[in-house]
Amino acid sequence: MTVLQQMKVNLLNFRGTNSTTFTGRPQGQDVRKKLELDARDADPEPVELVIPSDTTSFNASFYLGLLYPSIKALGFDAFKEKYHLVFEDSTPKSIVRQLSEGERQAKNELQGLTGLGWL
Amino acid sequence: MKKVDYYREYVYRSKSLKPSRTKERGAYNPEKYQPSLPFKELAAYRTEQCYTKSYKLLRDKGFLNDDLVKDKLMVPHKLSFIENFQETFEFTKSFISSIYDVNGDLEVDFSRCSYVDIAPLLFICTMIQDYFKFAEKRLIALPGAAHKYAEVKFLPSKTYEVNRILYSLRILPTIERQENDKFLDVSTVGMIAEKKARRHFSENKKGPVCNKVRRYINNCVKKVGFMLSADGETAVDGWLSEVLNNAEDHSRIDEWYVAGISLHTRDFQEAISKQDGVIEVRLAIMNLGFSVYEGFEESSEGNHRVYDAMANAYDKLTEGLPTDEKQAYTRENIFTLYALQEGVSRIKYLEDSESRGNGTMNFIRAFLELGDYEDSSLNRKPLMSLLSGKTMVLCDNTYKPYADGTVYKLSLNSENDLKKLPDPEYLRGLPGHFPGTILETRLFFNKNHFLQKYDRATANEG
Repeated sequence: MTVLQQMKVNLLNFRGTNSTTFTGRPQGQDVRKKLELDARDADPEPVELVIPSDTTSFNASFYLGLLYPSIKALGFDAFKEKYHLVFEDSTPKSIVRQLSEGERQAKNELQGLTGLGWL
Repeated sequence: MKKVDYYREYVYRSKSLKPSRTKERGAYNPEKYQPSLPFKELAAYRTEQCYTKSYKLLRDKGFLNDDLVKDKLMVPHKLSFIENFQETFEFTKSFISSIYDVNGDLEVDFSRCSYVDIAPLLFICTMIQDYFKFAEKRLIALPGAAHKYAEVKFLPSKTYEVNRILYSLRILPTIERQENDKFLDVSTVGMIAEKKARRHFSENKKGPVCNKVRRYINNCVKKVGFMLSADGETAVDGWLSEVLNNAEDHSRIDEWYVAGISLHTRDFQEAISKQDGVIEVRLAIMNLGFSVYEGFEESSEGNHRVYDAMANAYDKLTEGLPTDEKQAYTRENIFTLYALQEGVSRIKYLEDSESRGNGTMNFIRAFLELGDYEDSSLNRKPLMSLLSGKTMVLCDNTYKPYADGTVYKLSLNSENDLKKLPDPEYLRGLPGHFPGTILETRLFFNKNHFLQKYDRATANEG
């Protein structure tokens, strides 16, 4: 039986060469597979994902590719308790805003809210 | 026993018995030894293998037309999909058809052209690069055939601004400097063509291209006395990378293209002395493949719940409209507008695609965050156009995405109501089908505006 331990991952390795942005749903999904987050969801230990210091953008598309299946599996509150996105260095407000944007879109998705909700 | 070296024996014998090649056949004659042409069918097969993916796609979509092949092409007075779609579209069709099939060289005359946009130039330059790739491959595949590159000669415009832009994009090799040149500088980020690569994170090119374009924009704004703050960099990166995600997702040939120029005019320079420097940046991002509407049509079976709802909504929206007005709002146009709404995606029904459908609204909102500086008196109006298939969606500060609860919508009408008809100036039906999607933007970066905006944001958060 594999025993999963508390996990701390620096996302720098997944940002790509000569890149300072995290973007793209497929890229987020690839990182998710690589980190085996599906298996981590079932484990009670918290997961800390470290955003490297010189990151200029952490897009909602990447956020959703990486974390939406966990949000869906755990529910938003349990997800927030388990997964911690932390900054390596200072906390850039612009990227905090991008993370909030990813969370807003994930919540809408959970509730089935879309721009065509009136149809 | 004597050992016999059979190999040496054979070499000696063959040398002594066989006359030398020169003695037997005379001096080497390159003409005599040109390889013969393969059979017609084989030549056609090999030529077909040399065509690039984008050429094949355009051909299969009926974009190329033998009747449009000419050796001299006159560029329309406005080369712009936004300002002059019909003529620009016909010109690009004729250009691409001609470059491959013209008998001899091709002359492209800009003399009547007084305005150019970056999107048609990106399309043309991409196709020229593609043509040369094809021609080089063909030379290798069919070495004996009498091939010749069709050389493309561009004749300059009478309008200096056009020539400066063409020169900066290396379409014109030289330019005569004009007295009282209104431009201090026209620079370019170049033409970038990249492929979708997903084998490893490090191979993905969206990040490096974002970096390159953002650094370019930063260098542009430095010329007018400021630089992007961390917030500004995040806004540019966030917008660009969402656009590139979209281009990569919708490209049928896994390729996407980017071009950009910045214009720095004298009146901008005068403004710098008043601490109000402005610089104009024009960018175009293109992918070839299916349009937004074609994507929905193709997945209509799997995505039937959303597709049927959109079809019903379209019927209701256009119910009772007079015929001519109904023709102005085709099913394709309205579906394209619906497709831009948050949380709407053609492949949402697929596994792992649940949270899709936010990218387009993300980049429209990010664009309007960057491009909210406007000065109509000096004709500085930011604009973003999305050209896809037979539809063009325009975004500026007139109609913006609005929040309805926690969801963002874009209705393109003053009522902010998707149940009402959009403004036909902002959702345009087009007479020709563009085989893919081009996103084109005009942005103005103003020093004071930027500083005030981010100071306000920081104060609000503080």
